[in-house]
Amino acid sequence: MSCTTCYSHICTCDNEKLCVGPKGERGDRGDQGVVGQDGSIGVRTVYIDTDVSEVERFPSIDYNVISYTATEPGDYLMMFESDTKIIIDQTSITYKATKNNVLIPNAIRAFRCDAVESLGQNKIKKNKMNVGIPSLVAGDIISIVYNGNKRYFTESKSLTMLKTTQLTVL
Amino acid sequence: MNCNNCHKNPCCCEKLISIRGKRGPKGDKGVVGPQGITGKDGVTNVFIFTNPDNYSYTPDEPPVYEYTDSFTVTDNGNYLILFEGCIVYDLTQTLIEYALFKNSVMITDSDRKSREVWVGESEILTPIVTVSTNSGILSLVAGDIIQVGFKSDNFFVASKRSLTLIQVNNLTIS
Repeated sequence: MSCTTCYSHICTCDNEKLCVGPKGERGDRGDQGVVGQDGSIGVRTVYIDTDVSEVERFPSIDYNVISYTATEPGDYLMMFESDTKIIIDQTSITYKATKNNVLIPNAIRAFRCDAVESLGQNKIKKNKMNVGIPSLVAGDIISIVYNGNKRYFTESKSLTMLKTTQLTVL
Repeated sequence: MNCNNCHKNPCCCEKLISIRGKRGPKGDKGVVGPQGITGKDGVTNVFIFTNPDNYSYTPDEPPVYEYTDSFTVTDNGNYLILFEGCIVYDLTQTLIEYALFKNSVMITDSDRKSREVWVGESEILTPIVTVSTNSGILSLVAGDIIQVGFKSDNFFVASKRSLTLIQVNNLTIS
């Protein structure tokens, strides 16, 4: 090894301090980088439509009381509930779920109501239906349709569509 | 600076002055880690059994629960159980009790009651009403049997019933 100034093996230029010494120690390890951002959460699709309007309905006519138009393809669990006000004795009402105006299998319920006027007040009946609906595609329309034999009122209604990962209809 | 060996300047001992280099600088801070990956879609498996058949209940003395619908669990997990159906009353003042059961044991707080009272000529029309209940979120294992049970002091018909099990990832009870 030679002096880096005079290139002599034995330094003669009084700059011996410039002679190359052994390599310095390795520096400390750098600090750890900060943690990356969290990824976005997964998606669970739930559609809920609630209608609290009171609408008068007339005998023997089908009425769509609430509907859902699919925007995402997939399997869904449909949950419907409502209150119906009965104002006339001997009222019988059927309600059903349809997909593009076609009855969904087993998606039909009914109720009948006895004297109401004789008791001096209207009766309010709770209606409920849960149905699995496989293979919806965007644009499919799910409707809840009522038909009664006498005049009645549909009151609060709620339609929930829960998109499922796996729907098993037994 | 004098030679470390001969202590002269310039050196005369043929031993090169050796000056150790300085300690290297600290390394740079590491870069920010990458963003986490997007979570998967929420997993919600649904098993639904809709029974369109009528179930005719014959009262016992004293009334005991009879099972109308059942479902055997195939996947371990947390479930929310929903039930709804229609009841056709046979006699006025009939008290109907119903509940969800797990392996023949009633699920806490799932028991409900229904009673229809009618008067006069309205008896001509047999009432039909909706009944429904649900469980809290339950931890179930494969092989567990979920049942719907009814009991009453009178005849009635349970029709158009739906039993739904929703498998959920997270257990939140509030």
